[in-house]
Amino acid sequence: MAQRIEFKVGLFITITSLLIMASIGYVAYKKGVFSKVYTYTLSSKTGENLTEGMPVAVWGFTIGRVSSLELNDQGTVLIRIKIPERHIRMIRADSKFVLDKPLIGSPRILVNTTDLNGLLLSTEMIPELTESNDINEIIKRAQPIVDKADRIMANIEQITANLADPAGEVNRILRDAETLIARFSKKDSLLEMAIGDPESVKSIHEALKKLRDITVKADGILQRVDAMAGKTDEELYGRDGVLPQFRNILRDLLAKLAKIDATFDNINKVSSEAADSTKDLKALRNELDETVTAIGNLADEIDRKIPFKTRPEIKLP
Amino acid sequence: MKKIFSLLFLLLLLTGCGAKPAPLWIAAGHKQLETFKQDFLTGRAPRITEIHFRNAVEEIKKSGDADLLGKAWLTRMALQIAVLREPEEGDYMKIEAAEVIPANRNFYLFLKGDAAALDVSLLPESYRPFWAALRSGDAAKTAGAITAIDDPLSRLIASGLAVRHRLETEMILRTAVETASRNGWKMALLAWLERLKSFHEAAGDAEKASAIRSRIDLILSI
Repeated sequence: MAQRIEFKVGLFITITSLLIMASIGYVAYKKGVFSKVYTYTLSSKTGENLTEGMPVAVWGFTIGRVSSLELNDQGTVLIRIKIPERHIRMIRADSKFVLDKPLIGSPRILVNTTDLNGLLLSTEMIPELTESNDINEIIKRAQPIVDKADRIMANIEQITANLADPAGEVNRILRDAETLIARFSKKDSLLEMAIGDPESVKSIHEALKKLRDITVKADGILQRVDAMAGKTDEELYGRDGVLPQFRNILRDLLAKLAKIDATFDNINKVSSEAADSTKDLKALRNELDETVTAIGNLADEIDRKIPFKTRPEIKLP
Repeated sequence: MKKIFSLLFLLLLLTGCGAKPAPLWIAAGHKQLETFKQDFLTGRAPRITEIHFRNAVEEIKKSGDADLLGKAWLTRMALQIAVLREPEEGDYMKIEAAEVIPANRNFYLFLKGDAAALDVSLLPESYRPFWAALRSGDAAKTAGAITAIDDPLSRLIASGLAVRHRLETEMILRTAVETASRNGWKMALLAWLERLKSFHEAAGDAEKASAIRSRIDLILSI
């Protein structure tokens, strides 16, 4: 009986091992591990921008990688690229190899093949690797960046113009915020305002909640501006660039909101002790509502002007 | 302040639990394609418009994603139809030769008006009622189906397809003019106004044609 169990266990282990090995073998086969890989050699006068593992692409599709780089006796850099057999038809005798150095992103080797029915490139041949250095290419690539900078500048100009305008929206909001802070800082006035009327206290709480929501929203915008900061050129996003200035404006606004928030905490404390009614509370509520609405509108406007979506999707129109 | 920090912390936590940000190439490709669409419809210099499209394609090519690459070229074709131009296939057929994406292939057939080979179930949902109306050959029904499309660009594409299928009515043309006008798509607006003017001229309604002419002149003089 014991022998029979041992036999079964042995059989189970053997079959499992075989299955595992077969699976690994199948995956490796599907991944092309057993397929033949061709090695071609390219030559270049310089090894600059070349790295091992660099992709080799045709029409945007990666078909191979740079396997090694070496310097020969004549001072020429020899670049060995490995291409799997299934992509070998892309490499023809008339194929041109170009080192593509995009303004943004890593360099790669592009293979330009005009005649896919031409003779296959012999592994003995050493074609030259050229560089895409055409000035027009650079201008072409720079154009959208300039274009984008132009648009952002126009938006920023609009916002800064608003800031410079004493009667502008931003200045009005800041003035309103300052008025509120000034009123809250007067203890006598505070005692007058903070009363025990439950309805009024409730409405203040609602306004406070609204204010906090907007603070969170504005902070979200700041985070997005921060996320943008590391991405492009110095002039736009550098220390003295327009976006950091814009960010400072928002930070200033947030600091003021934080002060209002702290003052409200004080009011809450006082209101629990005081029990006197006052008309000023209504006025305060109106002022607060106006400020909150104005800040909300501004936040929406900024959000609209910097429409960076977290998960863009390319769909059919 | 503590409450604000708590709220911010909660927000960050929720953001952390949410979807991961899209890869850079998708973000850049999407942005370039959206700029291309906007520039194309508003009528920016073709040189600039084309650069945005080429950049979008280059970004998508970084991934080698034939589906998205096909979508980019189909978007270009659809935009040409939306402004009443002859659609250019560009590299779409090359991409399809490399890999056939059924939904893209179907949209291509839709743009080409190949009713026999088209599978309605693979069409974007917003176009389905329109396609059914178009196939019925009923101009009034088609106009109604176009008006019912929510997305303004899809509405303009559908209008362009209706015109290509010779289902041209004043209502369809006016819907397209209204759509382009509301969205500030100057180039599309001019194309559709020209079409509307020709429509009135052909119908012998000189007064309406003249009013449209004045509107075109006004736009061009700005």
